[in-house]
Amino acid sequence: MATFEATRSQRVQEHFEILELELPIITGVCTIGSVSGTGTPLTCDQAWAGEYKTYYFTNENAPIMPSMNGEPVFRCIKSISESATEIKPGDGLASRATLSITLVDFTGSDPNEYAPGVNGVVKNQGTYFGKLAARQIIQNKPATLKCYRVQQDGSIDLTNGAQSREYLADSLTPNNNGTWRLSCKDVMSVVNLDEKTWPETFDSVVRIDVDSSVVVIPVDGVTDYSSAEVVRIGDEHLKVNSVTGNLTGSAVLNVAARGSDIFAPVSGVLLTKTVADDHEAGDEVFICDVADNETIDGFLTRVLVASDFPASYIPSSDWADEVNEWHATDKINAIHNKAESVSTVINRVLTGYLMDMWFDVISSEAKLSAISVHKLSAGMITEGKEINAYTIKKTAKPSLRASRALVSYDKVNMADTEGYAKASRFSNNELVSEELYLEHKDKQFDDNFIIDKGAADLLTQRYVSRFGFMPFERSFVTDERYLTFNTGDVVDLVSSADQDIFGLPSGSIRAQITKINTKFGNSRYYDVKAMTYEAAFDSGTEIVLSEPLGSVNLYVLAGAPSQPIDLTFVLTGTYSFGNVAIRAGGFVNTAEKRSKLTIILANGFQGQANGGDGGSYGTETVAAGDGENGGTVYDAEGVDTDIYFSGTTPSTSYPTADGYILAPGGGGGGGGWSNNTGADFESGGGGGGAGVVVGVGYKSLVGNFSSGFDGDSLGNGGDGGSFDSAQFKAGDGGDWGLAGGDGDDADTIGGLGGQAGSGVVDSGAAVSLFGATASRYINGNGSH
Amino acid sequence: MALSITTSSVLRTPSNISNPGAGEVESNISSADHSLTYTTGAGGCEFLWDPDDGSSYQISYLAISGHNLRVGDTVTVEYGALLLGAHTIQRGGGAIMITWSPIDFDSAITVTISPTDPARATTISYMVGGLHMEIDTGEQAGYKRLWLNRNVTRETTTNMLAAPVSTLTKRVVLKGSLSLPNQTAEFSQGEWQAFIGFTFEYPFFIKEIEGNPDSSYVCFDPLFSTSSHSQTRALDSLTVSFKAYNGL
Repeated sequence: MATFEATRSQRVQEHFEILELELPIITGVCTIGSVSGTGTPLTCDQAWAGEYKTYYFTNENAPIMPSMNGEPVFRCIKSISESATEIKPGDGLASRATLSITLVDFTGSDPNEYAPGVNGVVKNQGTYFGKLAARQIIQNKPATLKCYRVQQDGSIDLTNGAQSREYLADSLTPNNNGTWRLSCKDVMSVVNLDEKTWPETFDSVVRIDVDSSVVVIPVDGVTDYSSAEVVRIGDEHLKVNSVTGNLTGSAVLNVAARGSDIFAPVSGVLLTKTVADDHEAGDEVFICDVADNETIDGFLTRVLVASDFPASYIPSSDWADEVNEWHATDKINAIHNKAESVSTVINRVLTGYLMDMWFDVISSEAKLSAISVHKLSAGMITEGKEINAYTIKKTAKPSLRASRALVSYDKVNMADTEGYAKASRFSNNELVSEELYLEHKDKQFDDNFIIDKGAADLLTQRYVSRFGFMPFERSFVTDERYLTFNTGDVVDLVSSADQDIFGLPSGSIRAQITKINTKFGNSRYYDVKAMTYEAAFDSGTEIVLSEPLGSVNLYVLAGAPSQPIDLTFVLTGTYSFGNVAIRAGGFVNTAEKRSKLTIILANGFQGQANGGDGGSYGTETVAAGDGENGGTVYDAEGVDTDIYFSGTTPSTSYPTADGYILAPGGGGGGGGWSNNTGADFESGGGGGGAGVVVGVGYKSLVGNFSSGFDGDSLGNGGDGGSFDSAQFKAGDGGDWGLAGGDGDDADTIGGLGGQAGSGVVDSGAAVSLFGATASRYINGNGSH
Repeated sequence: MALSITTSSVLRTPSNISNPGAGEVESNISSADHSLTYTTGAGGCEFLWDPDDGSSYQISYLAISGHNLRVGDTVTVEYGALLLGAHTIQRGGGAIMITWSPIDFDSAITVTISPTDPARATTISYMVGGLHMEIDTGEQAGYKRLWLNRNVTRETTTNMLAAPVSTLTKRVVLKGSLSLPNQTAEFSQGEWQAFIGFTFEYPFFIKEIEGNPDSSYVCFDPLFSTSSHSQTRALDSLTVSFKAYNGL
């Protein structure tokens, strides 16, 4: 006797299936009216005591088998048709699986022979399924299809030899030829995500009119407000500090100052701005859901369970592992201020973080999987073995292709219908040259209020990385013997449909298995669909960044790989900016697993950062301000990096480097206050440091003469301002790589100059500079 | 040469089973519905039929189809102390039919099954006994020897070299057609008619070789045809087409 997996490798296989249908019954006393009943809750006046009976049905040509748990196994399955779940990359929720079984009806037997109302006459009256359908409500009852294999010695293991597929019955209806059709659906369907809403709504209302300033809001005494953190009344959001008299006729919400911004308590993230307003008695009080620093898996679990999805079907540790690997730093900080379809809520999360979710009827688990070109292959599947020879078909999916992706995020006021403050765009301009796709194809994601900058950047990057080149769907047939992969797996394909440029089978076609559909016609075989894409490999991948870079995280721009990687970035997008213009980010980088970056500066790229702003001038009562420090152009953050400024590079696409890294200047300190002539005089604002985003000189409120001047992007710090240049003066902004000057001390002390910015900061990494001549590299406070 | 064809079924639910299976339904043994099986306890088992309704039946065969008996297992049939027949299984799962000269069923009949592996329980779909008829002329040339055929189809996938990779098998229904030309009108109007009536309610067994119980199969969905002889009314030409299950 052997398990299903133990016999998978049998070269010659004979298959059969057993359908188990679990239905409620009553085995004791059963009457309906004045006559004996037929032993089901529908046909007995007596209360149901929680008893179930499992009915067994098998194929007409199944091997001889004993009864199961004392019940006969009726040979009446004529055909089975399954439509498996199908992952839709980028679209969030997968399609649900369905199962349809055609059963041949028969006479001379009764589904409830134990019942007092089933005598010899009833047993031989009518048909089996006719009586079953009349006595039971089939909907949402467990239906398990068990797939068996006859073992090599001809025996069968009914106990351990099956692969079970968990479904829920949906309907049992007669056909016009003496057969019945049992339709089933997967467990995720029963949640009816399209028909449920979240967050839960209540009949909660304002009890008495309130104006826009009161902070005690009278509310109804029926709703439990004890867990309310934020409520929405009309278009106004109110932060609830406490509830007094909850569930009484005098219940009131004690709220924060009306119209004040609402922040998440743990993360401190701004959830929404709001505008105070008057409200009338009877206005709805919507209890908002607050996600505060919540993980993606935690949030999805909470929404699903609240929508009646059985928690036992959620593999929490698997979900957490997946999220930790691919979205380690992403947290959800958002309020949901109106009830929406659950599928809308879930899809917003799944598309916002580019993840797939589906229900696996075999493992009886909801699966959650991130989409990334960095996912490692689980194995290779080859035509002639895992792929039946000459069955593979390749279909282009142009609707998925995008060389540029855009998403808007950061909704400032959640009551607004529009109003997204920020957007993230990622484009692969390498694809739009004349020899390739000629022009951009855009993917515009729905505006998304739950994601932040990091998640938005990752979303657009991952989508373009995966679907920049034309995605193809491969469909093929696999025998059960070689079905060694699962839906969602990432695999490498070797097939006649994909050849390399020399005509040999290509082994570098990476694909995700999106559907495995069982065909039950002539024993079992499998129709498989796989979506191929350009994989990012752990070495040799070159990422060209051809747009200006502002505070970028190379780890995110690489798609947040979860394994150590050797990557090359080519910077051709003219310049960089930001307090830290370019940071390496969270690449895997331990003593055992080190990542390595190569940065090639090309086409005259100017790596710059923000210049420091000038400090404020002093007054009689307020001390002069210090100049701000200049920014950092590149922080290696401990990741070993080679940077090519000029000369030969290891890249074949960009064999010659040409670029600069220029540390910005610090801002000048503000001048001190002077009572030089018996009147108040400020000594001038500090000058701004040099930088591509220039340091801004501090401006006087009383006249231009004491304002500091802005730095410029050509390397010059701005002059500090002064009332009288012969006396007290604010500090000048620093030129590239120089600190800002201190402001002069007068009757009060002048501000200190900001420190010079940094060219390259190692932060513990081994960073090597190639071709970094004095004109191409200005270190400032950097490490070189 | 003679073909044995069953024409009646008199054994119903056994009156005693020496090694019963827990929770099993005894009436399943005599049910022609092969969905309904009976599984004994582990080891050997005796099935005993004791006529108790006062009727007098005749019985000349015992047949079993749909079972898990393996090569070397034995089946014996006894009438009181008289051994009616015994057989050692030569083909695992194959239908068997043991025949003898008709006797009155007025004493206990015992069927003893002895598996070679005492840890193995026996599962039986259909065990039946009754009368059979002998067709002395046997089958015509070209008649399909259904007890030697396999009721499976096979489909093998191949690799890129067109070499075999893996094979799927599927059980399909065997089909046969038995022609009995030049049968006497007495036979076609008498025993054959009774046989036709019997087949409306029960499947029937055919054993092709006398003395070889393994040369058997159970037949169902028969379609009968009776044609006149070209020269005499004393003879008829009989044909029956059917589906068959041989258990292999």
